[in-house]
Amino acid sequence: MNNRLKVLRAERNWSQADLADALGVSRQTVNALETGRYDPSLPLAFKIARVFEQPIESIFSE
Amino acid sequence: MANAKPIIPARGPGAFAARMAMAGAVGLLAGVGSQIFGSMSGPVGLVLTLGVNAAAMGLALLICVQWWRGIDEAAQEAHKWAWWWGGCSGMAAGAVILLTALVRETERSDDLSANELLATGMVLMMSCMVVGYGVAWVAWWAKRQ
Repeated sequence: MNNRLKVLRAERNWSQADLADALGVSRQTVNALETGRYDPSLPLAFKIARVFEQPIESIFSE
Repeated sequence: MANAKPIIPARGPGAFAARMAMAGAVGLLAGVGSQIFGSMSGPVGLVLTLGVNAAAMGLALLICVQWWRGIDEAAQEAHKWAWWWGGCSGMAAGAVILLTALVRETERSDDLSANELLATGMVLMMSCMVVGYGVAWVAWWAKRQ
């Protein structure tokens, strides 16, 4: 699964640690998500969508 | 008023080290308790030994539950994956060693009691599983960096 997490984070000038704090996960998890090597659970995907104020389908794609 | 920082952090290496230390202390108390009550003869000693070991295991599990709730979903996934693949691989390796030792029993030169042999087998199997677990856990995270 692909995602735009890195782009969205860069647009907001957030560090991985900032995003990790906002999501309540570790920086390593944010890194794993951004590299596309870890697919989040549905609750975490919804949380990401809320943090970036975008629908899930605009952040994640197959 | 600002939120007070918890004495034991919820996640990170500090949290892990603190919980490991707590579990280690519980294990130490269980060992001391077993030693004291185990030397008592009769059913009272047996019940007390069973009780102290069961209480220690319960307490260790509570510490694990508290730690598990503090880590995020990727960290939980890494542990689940490591438990299955690393633990099972380690168990398979341990089984090969133990089965080989079983058929080569006649070449054993030491003079261990049944209890010592049982404990040795248990420790060997657990060690293999822990090593497998550790390797699998490192591999899971290394693949996702």
